[in-house]
Amino acid sequence: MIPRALASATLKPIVLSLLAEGESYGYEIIQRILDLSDGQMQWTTGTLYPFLHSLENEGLVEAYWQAVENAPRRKYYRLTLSGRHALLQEKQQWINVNRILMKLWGPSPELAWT
Amino acid sequence: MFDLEKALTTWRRFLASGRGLDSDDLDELEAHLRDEIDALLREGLPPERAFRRALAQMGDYATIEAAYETLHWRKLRHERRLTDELSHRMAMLKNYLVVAWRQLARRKVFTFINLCGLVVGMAACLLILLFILNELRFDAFHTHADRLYRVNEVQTYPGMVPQHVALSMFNMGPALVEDFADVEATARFAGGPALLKRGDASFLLDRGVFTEPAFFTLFDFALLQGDPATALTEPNSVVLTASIAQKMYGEGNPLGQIVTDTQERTYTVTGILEDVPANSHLQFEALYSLDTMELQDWMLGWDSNWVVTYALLREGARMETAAAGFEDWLDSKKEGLSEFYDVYLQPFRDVHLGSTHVTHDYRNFQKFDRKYVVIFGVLAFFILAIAGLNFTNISTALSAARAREVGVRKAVGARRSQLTGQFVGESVLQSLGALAVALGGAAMLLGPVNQLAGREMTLTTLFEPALLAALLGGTLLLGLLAGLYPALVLSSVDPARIIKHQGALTSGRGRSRLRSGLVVAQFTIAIAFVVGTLVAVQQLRFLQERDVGFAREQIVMIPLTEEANASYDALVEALTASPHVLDATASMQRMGNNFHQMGLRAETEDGEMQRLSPSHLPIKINYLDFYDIELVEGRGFSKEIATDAGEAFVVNEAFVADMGWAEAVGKRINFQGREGPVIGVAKNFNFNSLHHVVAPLAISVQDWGFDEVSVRIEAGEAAEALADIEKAWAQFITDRPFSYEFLDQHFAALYATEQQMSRVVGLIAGLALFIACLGLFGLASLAVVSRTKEIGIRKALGASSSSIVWLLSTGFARHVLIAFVLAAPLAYLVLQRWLDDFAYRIDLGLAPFVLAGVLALLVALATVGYHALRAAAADPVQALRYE
Repeated sequence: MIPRALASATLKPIVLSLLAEGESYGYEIIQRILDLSDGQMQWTTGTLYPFLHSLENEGLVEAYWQAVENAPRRKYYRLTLSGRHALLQEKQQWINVNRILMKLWGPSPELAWT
Repeated sequence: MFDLEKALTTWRRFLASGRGLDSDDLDELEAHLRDEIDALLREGLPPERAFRRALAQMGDYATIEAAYETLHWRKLRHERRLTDELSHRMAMLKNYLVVAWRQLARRKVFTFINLCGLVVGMAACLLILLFILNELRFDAFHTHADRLYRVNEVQTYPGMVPQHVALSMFNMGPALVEDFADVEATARFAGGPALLKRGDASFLLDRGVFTEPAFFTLFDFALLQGDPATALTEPNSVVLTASIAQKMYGEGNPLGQIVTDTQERTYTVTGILEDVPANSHLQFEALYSLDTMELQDWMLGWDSNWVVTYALLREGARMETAAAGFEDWLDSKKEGLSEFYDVYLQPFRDVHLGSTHVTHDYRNFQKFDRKYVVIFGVLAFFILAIAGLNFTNISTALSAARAREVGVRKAVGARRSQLTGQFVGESVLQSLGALAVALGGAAMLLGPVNQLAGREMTLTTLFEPALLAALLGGTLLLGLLAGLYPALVLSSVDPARIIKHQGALTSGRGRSRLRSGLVVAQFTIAIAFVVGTLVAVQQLRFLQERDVGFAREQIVMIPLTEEANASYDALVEALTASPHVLDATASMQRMGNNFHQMGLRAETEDGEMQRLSPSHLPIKINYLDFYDIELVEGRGFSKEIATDAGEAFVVNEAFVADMGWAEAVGKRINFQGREGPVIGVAKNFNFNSLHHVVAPLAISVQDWGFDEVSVRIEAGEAAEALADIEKAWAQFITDRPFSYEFLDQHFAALYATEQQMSRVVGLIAGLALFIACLGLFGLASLAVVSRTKEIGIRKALGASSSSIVWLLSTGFARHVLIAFVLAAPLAYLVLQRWLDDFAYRIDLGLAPFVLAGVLALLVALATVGYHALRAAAADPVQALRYE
């Protein structure tokens, strides 16, 4: 399991990247991350939804409602233009971090004592 | 059967009660929950388990709500829904206030007891705080206060106990400036006329002093009119304070006017000073230029000490370095001077509180002891502690009865932090209210307290921003501490349990132990205070009733002027002609003071003449008889023997012991060039206050003129006697109105500091006991209420009333006993140290301890007894129906 601190640090790049692939809603986002991380990263509703709302407040994503049969409507999120800019910035920063780690660990790191 | 839709509705309604989530949020969350449940149902889980697991995966409710709430606030700013939110919060606040008010109103007695204790404690604290501040800020108003020093001496002449004196030699001041680079300026003080005449009208001053121009360099006493640079430079100048100038000249301009003193010296008024503030140890109503004094040879000598000198050090100079060369410096002025004198600088700010060991300290208005300031501070702390403990204690007890309210609040969704906030808020509000009432109380009591303490304190001191902030902060803290415990206890209860088994909280064993502990702490402090009061009163009575070795009742002391000295014999004849006056005598100094030391030479057993400087009392020939001073050897002075006046000496036992004389009578004493025999030895009598042991003393009859006449009057006829004395006075003395003081008043004044202290301690002991009993009263009644059913059952089964009273009282009596065991050794140690300050002191007996213990026990039992009796007398049927 990925520790909470690291998980929340990655919240922004991951959510933005996921939404860059296409619009989505909260439950789906949590499920996709669970799949992508082989069950290593599980976000709770208490973390994800408020985060989505704050992205909405910042204008990085926009939301709209879609009716669902026999159930409450569902709220979808999609990336805005400034959201795409923000994703670029995030990417740049994460690439930098990645570069540092690559230099330290080599291109295909293995878990071993050094 | 589990109904998924119903469960979801309930869940949604529960979340809706929170303020952080709106219906959009809820829609979104519900959609999420439904997706989760669908997935789980597809895995084959039954609906109820699927619902529970999905719920568990969403994380706990509090975290979700908190996360949403933070967000909610940010959103609010976006959407300008602040007013909605505010109105909601106000509604909640109003609800809290209404509940708080109902609580207070429903339990009027308890609320009263609870707040009363706090108010009384706070008011006492505020007053003590004012006093402490007043003492600590004494003399602080001078700009140079930190560079100012008083020049003191330690005198160690043979024939006397070494003593610190506030006196210095006349030439020291200027010599210090000349010889020490660190000394910037000095100013000298000497007693001046206390009566001024403008034409034929006489005006009596409290204090007049001679001083020099540098006075205005050293001190910040402000001149309203006149030039500080020149006001005191010319001889025969006087600077008056505004109020005495007003008295003498009304609205007229006093500057340039001429006034005369009783010796017919004239002075020109050269300046008007602002009245001297009450928190200055230097007090005067007139400053005369020092150059006016006609200095006699003895006054200029390097071994006569009769002025008070203040020194201003240069910026950056240190007292230690400045004083380093004093010993050699003294010897350079007069060979061997340092053998008898040790000169040192006493910081100016220490003069008021740090001079208890300094004698001949005549210009130290309202001198006080720093030790007592500390004691007062400790007392204030304790009284606040008692009041605070009381507050916590009763609040806790009271809040236990609100368990059901808490249960209901929790059931409808109150969060723990809300509940804690509510209880703490209530107690903070109460303590703030108490502070306001206490301020009012302190304002009302300030007048009497000022009178008691002889100070001029004002409540406005408390409104300095820093102090006010500290007061408010302290009060908030008190409210917080007092409310926190009950708040934490209550907010942790399980709502289901509390609603089902109401009252389960009142009988928690740990809680009642805590309350007992608080009661014990309160009584420990109260008992210690009571013991302290009893011992202090006992010691003071001992001091005042101790046989000092001379008669001091029915004696009126009247200061003598030169004119009065000149017509002394006629005055005494007129005085003793009154049927109400028994006798009169005169002396240079007054009983109860440290008599001045004067140098003389006395014959040793080997026949050599040895120098020593004992206290010396010049008297009128009938003084020893008048004061009924017992002689253990030889005889007193006699009018029949011509040489008795001026040559013969009576010494006291301490003098004989100091000289090591085997046979005192007949030894020769040489004093100021005249030599005569010791004719008698007086039994030691306490001419100084009882803080001091009896010092060696020589008594001689001199014709130098006297400071004071002592008149013994008929017991019970004081009014008539005083009228006759005044008539006689007016007949011979024209230059000064009649004024007097009873000698026993003077003696009482010697112990004024202790007297004040014991009164304050007594008052506080009473308060402490009162507040502690308030606490006990509240607890006892709660205990009785919570045991109503038990008492009913006991009575129904045949218990007698007395056994019920016994049952209820013994528990509380045990607390008082434990408190006594804790308080006694504490009080013993503190009081032993206090008593050690007196040369003559009582032994600490058992009596005050027993008395205080019994008193506390009785008061406690009386308090508890009221409730116990009521409970015991109640009809058991009513008790059994209770609840």
